Amino acid sequence: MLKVTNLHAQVETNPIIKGINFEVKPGEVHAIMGPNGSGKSTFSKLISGHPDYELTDGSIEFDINGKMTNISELEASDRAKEGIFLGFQYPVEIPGVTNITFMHEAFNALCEHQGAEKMNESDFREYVKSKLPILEMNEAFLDRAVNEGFSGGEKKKNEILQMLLLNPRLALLDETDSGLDIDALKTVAKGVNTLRSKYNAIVLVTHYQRLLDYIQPDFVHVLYQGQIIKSGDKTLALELEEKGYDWLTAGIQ
Amino acid sequence: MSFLEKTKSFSGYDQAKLNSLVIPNMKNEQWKYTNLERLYSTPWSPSSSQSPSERSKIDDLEILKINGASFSSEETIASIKVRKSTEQEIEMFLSREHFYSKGFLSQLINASPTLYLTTEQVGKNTPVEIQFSNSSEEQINIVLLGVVKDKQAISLRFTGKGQYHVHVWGNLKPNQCLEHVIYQELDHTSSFLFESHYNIPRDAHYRQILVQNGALFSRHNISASLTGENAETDLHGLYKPTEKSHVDNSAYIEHGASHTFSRQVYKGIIGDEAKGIFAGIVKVNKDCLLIEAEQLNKNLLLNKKAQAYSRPQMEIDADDVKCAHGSTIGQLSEAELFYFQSRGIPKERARAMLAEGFAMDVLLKIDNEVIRELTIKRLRGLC
Repeated sequence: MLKVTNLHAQVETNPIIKGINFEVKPGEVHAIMGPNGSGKSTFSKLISGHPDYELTDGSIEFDINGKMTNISELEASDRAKEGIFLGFQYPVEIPGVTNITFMHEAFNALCEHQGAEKMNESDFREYVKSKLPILEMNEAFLDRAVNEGFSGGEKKKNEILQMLLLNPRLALLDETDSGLDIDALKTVAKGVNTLRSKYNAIVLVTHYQRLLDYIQPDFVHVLYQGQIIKSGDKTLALELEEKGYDWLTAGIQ
Repeated sequence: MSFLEKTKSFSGYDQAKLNSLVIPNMKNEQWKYTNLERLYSTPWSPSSSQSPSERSKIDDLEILKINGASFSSEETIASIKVRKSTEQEIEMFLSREHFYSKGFLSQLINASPTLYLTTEQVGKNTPVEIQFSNSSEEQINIVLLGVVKDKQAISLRFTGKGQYHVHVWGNLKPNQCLEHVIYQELDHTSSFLFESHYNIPRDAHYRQILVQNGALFSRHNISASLTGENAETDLHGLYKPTEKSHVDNSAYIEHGASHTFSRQVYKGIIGDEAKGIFAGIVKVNKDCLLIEAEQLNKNLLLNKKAQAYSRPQMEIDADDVKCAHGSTIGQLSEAELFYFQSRGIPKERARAMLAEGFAMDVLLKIDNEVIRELTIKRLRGLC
């Protein structure tokens, strides 16, 4: 459903992504690992359409209505409506906009795009309430401003809640495990596993193997200096945990 | 007897003083950004509209709609009594030095008709709204003298078009609590000069929320004097100029007694080639102790050609006080916009939602629930 070919990208004039080939099929879970500054976050933002990154070469194709389509010119909001979701490493705070209003707007934008009927406010609230227990969140979160005053763990849970509501075909989760204690990590992982099906795919961007104990990946990739330098199955993550990255990066300038 | 003759016969009316006053120009510090002379140089015709007033109700809100400026008889709606002012009240008004000074006073005296309203609460705590809806480009002068009982909320709404001069004069009594919510949504040919003065004595609380969502030219002067212990005031504003409109807020708060409190939050959302101004002074007099004052002005510029000017000031002559002031001018954050877009919300809608979120903080300061909900709906364009 996602095919990235020879992807090159830069911020201002700094090249960050230097030739990535990457393919995801429905039902798969991929983990992208790598040391700091290797381009992991940039890669997920590029796929979701962040305007700060300039694609200089290569292509991003996504399955739209059964046809692989180049989406690199699409606005972020249009990519989201086609089913690409980005879970943020640092979700922003939006003072003055309540969580429920924000989610309702996003949900109805999706309904509109799919030609489905929009959901009214009270039905939507019931729908959201049905998802809250999965993440051990209470209803009070819905009426607070988006992420404002949320703890690190609450922000990440809120990202996963939004993901469950929007039910994306492709979820890119950027360091969803950072800043979580072990209980919150389990809860968040439970939320992510709820989405997992043969129709959905998940790409986890992470530093640590820890998350992968709870969300078992089918593939693990190592990103270094803007390139995928090694791919393997979940045993690669364990190997990285044991040896670090040096054995892979030694000899690469 | 003409209105002019009548006003001249008042003891407090000082012709010499009137003649000595001039229209303030931009050399005057308080008028640095606003050229009033230009406004006065355009010929104005007084309102001749004679359409009758209407009464209606939204939820628990009593509404008196005044079309045009005519208002000749005394009226009592279920919870509000509207009458012409007494000579003493007019005298009190004329004895005061006004920023608009000679220009305004001569307009006020010569232009006919001038609308004087005094609202008196008859029922219990029911909120009241007075709507001014004018369909011509005429000049309308309004003086509202607020006489309140214990606790009252009054909403003033200005729609349609016209050249409005509005004076609100409030002398609260001890223990009284008054809230004014002013919603201005005049069309882009209109002007709106709004001056209000409040005297807030012991244990009284005055709250004003002013929303400026229209007019080509608008100036708001407010002065509040906290004259007795435990007096409190909340003065908040939201201004949303668009196109080439100009909105100027000038606020003066005087803490004249110990243990007095003031809070101000003014927020501007400035679009297109519009200009938004806030200049506020909080003055704490000598020997007034245990004062708490907060003054904040925040501006959001939606366009490269939009302009914001912000001057929060404090003059503190006492020692034991807790005062804070601040101002910001900025644009919508790209990170916030991207967050919305990553959830499928288009950029334009994201901008609107973020601007509304920025504004909401001011609207939530409206204490009366009925008026608060209605004002939020109005700003969202729902009614």
